[in-house]
Amino acid sequence: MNADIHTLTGAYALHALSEAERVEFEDHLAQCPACAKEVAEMQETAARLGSAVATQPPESLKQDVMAGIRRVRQLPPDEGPIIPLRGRKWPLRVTSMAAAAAAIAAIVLGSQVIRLDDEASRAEEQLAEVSSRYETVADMIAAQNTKIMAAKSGDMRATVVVSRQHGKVAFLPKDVPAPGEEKTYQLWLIGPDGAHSAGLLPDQDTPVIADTIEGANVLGVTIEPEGGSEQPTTDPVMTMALG
Amino acid sequence: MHGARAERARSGKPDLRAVAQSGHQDLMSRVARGDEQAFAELYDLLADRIYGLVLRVMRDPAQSEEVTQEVFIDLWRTASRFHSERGSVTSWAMTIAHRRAVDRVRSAQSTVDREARMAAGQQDTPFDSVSDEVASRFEQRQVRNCLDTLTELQRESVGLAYYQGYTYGEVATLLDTPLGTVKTRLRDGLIRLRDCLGVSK
Repeated sequence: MNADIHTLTGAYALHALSEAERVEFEDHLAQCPACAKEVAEMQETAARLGSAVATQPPESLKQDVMAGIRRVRQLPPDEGPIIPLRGRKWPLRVTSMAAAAAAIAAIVLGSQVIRLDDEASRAEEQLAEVSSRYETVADMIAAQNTKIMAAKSGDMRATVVVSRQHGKVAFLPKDVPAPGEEKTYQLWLIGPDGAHSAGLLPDQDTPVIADTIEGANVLGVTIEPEGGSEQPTTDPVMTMALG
Repeated sequence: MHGARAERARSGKPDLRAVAQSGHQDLMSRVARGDEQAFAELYDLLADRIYGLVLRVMRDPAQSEEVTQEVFIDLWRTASRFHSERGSVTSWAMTIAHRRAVDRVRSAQSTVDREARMAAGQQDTPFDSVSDEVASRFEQRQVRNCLDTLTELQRESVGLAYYQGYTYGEVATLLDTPLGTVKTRLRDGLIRLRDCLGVSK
């Protein structure tokens, strides 16, 4: 156990790490049962600190919450292998790889269908493009040693599929706010020798597939001027460890 | 904890926390099955704590209500993924709530704004001014007593990180203390609190 990273348990339990450190620490956490136990105890402790400042919310909040949940579908229970879910405390499990594949298909195709309705003229071309990308993603999911991660950062959500066997990373945007006028999202594979561009997000629905880079263990997303940059010029809006 | 539990069993007093815990688990199983009535009970159980914590971090009541609502919807959505062996319902919910509140203040506040505030050395509310409207007096007194067992640096570091939502780097700047020191104070401060509060798995 690395003594230095172990001292981050406290800062982690208090959500006091920077995004990059959090990603690194969660990687460590997955392999360090002693750290996981310590973190769980510290989260219990922090919850007590939080309970000490309890304050009654306005009465109306309960109605809002109860009305809110009626519109929200609950996640099914987990039974399958654990897949680390970045950006959250609790690991996501998927019942089977097939379910994961179906979920990804729904994400990709679901959002594309809406797009195609809007832009009938480019439909055929786009569908071909998407289905070829989707086939790659499906192949990646079916392969051995594939990691599927859901990432969330602020308002942004995405699913990332990493296939060691294919040597590819797929980035599937889910909820991605508009990057802003004349701006674009750029993906980066980050390793000890720095950041390498993994391509631009063509729009807020289309997956990006990139070749993995030897030694790159973090995927980052930044907002860059249209056309992209050589190197990241802004702080990442999302990072996740590729493991 | 086991020792304490055995002791209580011998003395014939129920371990209220343990009783509450097993009750919470039943409640969570019902919530996971889509039982809205059970969720309403969960709301009653946690609303004050979650709202209080979010309000403490965010300060703005309207935004705190919004975030509290998001937290509850998250609890509803992910109820089936709650695992009692990994911790209590309260810890699970409060971790989600704290995370959301902190994420929200970090994304909302521009770095410039925060740096300006840090440079000015402003800490809006002293860490001790705990809002005590509805927190159980016993629970609050216990937390306060345990906070008193910390060194000043431990207490300040934990308070700034948890109640104000600062990163440990920001805490180091505010307290004019080396990063490594703050990192270890957060950890040993929490360990001391954990032991004082009798939190253990």
